[in-house]
Amino acid sequence: MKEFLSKAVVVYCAAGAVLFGVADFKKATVEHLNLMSQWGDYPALLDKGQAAFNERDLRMAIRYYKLVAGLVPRNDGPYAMVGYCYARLGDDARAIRYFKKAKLIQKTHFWNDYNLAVLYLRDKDRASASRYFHNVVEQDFRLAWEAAVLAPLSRISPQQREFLIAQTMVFTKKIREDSLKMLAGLDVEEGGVILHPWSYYMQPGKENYF
Amino acid sequence: MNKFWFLALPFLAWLGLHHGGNIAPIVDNAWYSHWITYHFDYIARGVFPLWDPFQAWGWPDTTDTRFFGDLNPLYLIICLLTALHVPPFVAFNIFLVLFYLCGGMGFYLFVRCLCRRELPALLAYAMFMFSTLGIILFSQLTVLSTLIADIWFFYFLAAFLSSRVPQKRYFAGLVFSMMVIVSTYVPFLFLVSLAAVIAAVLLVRPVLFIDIFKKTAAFIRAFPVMFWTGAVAVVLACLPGLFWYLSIQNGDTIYRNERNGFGAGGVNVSLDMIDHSSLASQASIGGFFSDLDLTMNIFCYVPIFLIIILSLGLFARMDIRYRIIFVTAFLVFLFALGGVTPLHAFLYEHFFFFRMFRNLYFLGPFIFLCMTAVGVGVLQVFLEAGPETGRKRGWYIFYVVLVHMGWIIFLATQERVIWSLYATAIGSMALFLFYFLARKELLFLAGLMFVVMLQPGQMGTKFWQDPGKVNTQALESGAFAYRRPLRGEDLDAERGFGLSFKKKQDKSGFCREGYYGSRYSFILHSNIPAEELQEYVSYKFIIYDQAAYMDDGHPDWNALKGSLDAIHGGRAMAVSGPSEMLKVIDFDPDHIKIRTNFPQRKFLVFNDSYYPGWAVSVNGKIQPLYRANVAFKGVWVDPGRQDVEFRFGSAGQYIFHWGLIGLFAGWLGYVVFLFIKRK
Repeated sequence: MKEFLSKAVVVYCAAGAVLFGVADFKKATVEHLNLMSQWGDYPALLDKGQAAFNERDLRMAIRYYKLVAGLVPRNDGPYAMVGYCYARLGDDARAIRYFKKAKLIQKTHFWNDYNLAVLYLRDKDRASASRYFHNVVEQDFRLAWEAAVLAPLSRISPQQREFLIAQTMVFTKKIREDSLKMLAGLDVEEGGVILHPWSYYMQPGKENYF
Repeated sequence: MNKFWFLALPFLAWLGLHHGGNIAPIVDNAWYSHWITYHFDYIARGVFPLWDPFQAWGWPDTTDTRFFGDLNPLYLIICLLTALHVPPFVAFNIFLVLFYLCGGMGFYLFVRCLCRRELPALLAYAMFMFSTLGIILFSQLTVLSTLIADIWFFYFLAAFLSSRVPQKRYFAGLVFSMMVIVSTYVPFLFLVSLAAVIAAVLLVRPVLFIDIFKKTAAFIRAFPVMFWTGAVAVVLACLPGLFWYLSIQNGDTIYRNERNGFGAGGVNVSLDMIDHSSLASQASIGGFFSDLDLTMNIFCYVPIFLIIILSLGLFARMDIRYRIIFVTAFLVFLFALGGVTPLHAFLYEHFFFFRMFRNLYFLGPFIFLCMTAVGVGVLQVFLEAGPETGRKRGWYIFYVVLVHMGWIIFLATQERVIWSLYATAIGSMALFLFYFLARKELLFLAGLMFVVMLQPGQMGTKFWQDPGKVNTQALESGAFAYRRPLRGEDLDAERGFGLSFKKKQDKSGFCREGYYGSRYSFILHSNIPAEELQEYVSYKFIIYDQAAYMDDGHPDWNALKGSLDAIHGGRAMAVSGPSEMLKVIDFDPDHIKIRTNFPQRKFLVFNDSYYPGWAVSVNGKIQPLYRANVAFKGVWVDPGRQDVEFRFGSAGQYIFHWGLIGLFAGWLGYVVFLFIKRK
């Protein structure tokens, strides 16, 4: 018995039992998060993620955004950014997973829904794409039009783009006159009209689609 | 076994890793490097800096020096090197390297004293050299300055207690390490560690105290003079810290906890603030394995090799010495977790001592060293129990593979694991199999030392390549070129954490939010906006035609503003440079001598904080020193040529401080002499 009690594993187990008996691990997590935000590491990580993203080092950006997601688990932004980076890398399965995580936190978000719709479209799952695009149109039908027009940028085929536009028309109950004009303009002056939304979305902070 | 090479090669490898690139002081060392080079530059010139005229309009230079323990005689290496025309910052880095080696040697001796075997001691030494401490050395000297003294203290204590007859050299070493510890800002770390050791002995083997008392009594009987001399030396070493503490307590020096965020220190820290600086806030279990090449995690990491050897030794017998060390580490760990366990809150509530210190995570390296000692200890038992042949050897081989494969599979389940963790686990498995199959201890040890290097090697290389972490401004701005380091020249850059001291200053040059200063400067700064003080304090000397008494009990702040603004009304003259009327003829931090030649009797205000201990003399004769414009020093000066000298500190203070430097250096010399004599 004495020999058994002198084994390292017994000493470790005893220490572990004491630790689990007295420690408040939830508080430990809170303290860790406090420190990260207090000393600026959380924004620093976001900055690093953004810097890596700007340098097109998407894998590094994913790492930083995942760390931020761990630190602020109730914020959908970092998950969406991870999904966005995966989508840019062509890893659609992972991208869908992370956009869905973002949606669990923030049920309605235009770009999360839009990106999920496009991802499903790329995956040839039109039913799912249609479901998410419905949400997109409900949130902002005008923006949905513009995004659908810009869909070629999302590496989808002309047929898939037409599908998106058609979906927009189906889901939009009250298409305003200006939107119709916009659509008409597209048909007549394709280059000019495409340039307009293109330049609009390329403004800093507007690059929400891929 | 050629021990020398096993000690030298890891050191050289570590040196190559950390000094192959542009090493510059980072995090808090950005300040310490300037403070230390400044301090020892003056020491080398025969001036003991008692006063700091560069911060908060002047205040005693006894606070900052406590952060690094200025009395440690090893710092005199910097003086020696600068005397040989080595640039100060290079001298500082050389000191750091030698200091680190000193810590590694201490740890080697400590482990060897415990297990009386070379292999675990050398392995522990390599684990020390290649550990989180190698980064902390360049970022938080305040931790290492105490920790390395702690290591030597515990080595001397272990050696003292394990020797059959009383040994003078171990006692002398104990005294010296205690002297160094009490002269630092954080003897707190030592006292917590010592209390944990005492508690661990009480829990594991209380009868050991009888042995300790017997040995101490035997020593006192054998060497009474040495015992009492040592006791007096330790008490003397405590005095600067005591005086510093008293100056804060009586309000002459303000060092208060006014700020809510980072940087708040002082003598009474809130429980919340301590919790924010606990070990729990610094580390997370996931952080042991994931994202280790992201430099933010580098302060507290546990190497995978340590985890592996602790796992290998799971079923080994942990003898009494290692149980005491493990329980010590565990108690310190419970304490360092802050509010996560009730231990710290209890001590905080009942003992004032625990309300004085904030950074509990500084205890992390101590816990790491304890666990390293336990790890190599149980590993030694595991290795010695392994038979050379037979079926049992097969079980050992199976167990080695099981443990390593278990960790490799575990790592595979984790996200973002760096390659060196896998390499360490695979290399370690190969070496342990080699050991049980071939039994070539020398090659085994050399291989283990290489494996130990892998993880810190990858992390360290990445760390020093991160331009966001390593402040290369020092290199770019020529700080490494030879010139005298000056106070207030701390690197003026946004750092990873917090701000440099320059950025903490407001427009008046006083610390923003009044974090520290002398009593009267603090009062003035609290009552007059910094913008209104800005111009006045930009002049060191103001010459007034007349002066009036103001009642401290009912200060007339409007009248004071008029006095500060007198340079615009023609009632006072600001000195903007040397002239026939006033010029500085001698200066060091503790005194300034000026030559005046006024046409009539004037009241000269020296815009440097008024503080007890300052005196003024005119032509060698002591004159009354007035507190002028609330916070500064003033004296009446007669017309004609006069030599006015302001001086801080008495002859007694100088003798005391120089005496202490001599005492520390002398005692270290005595310890070295005793060890050489024994050989």
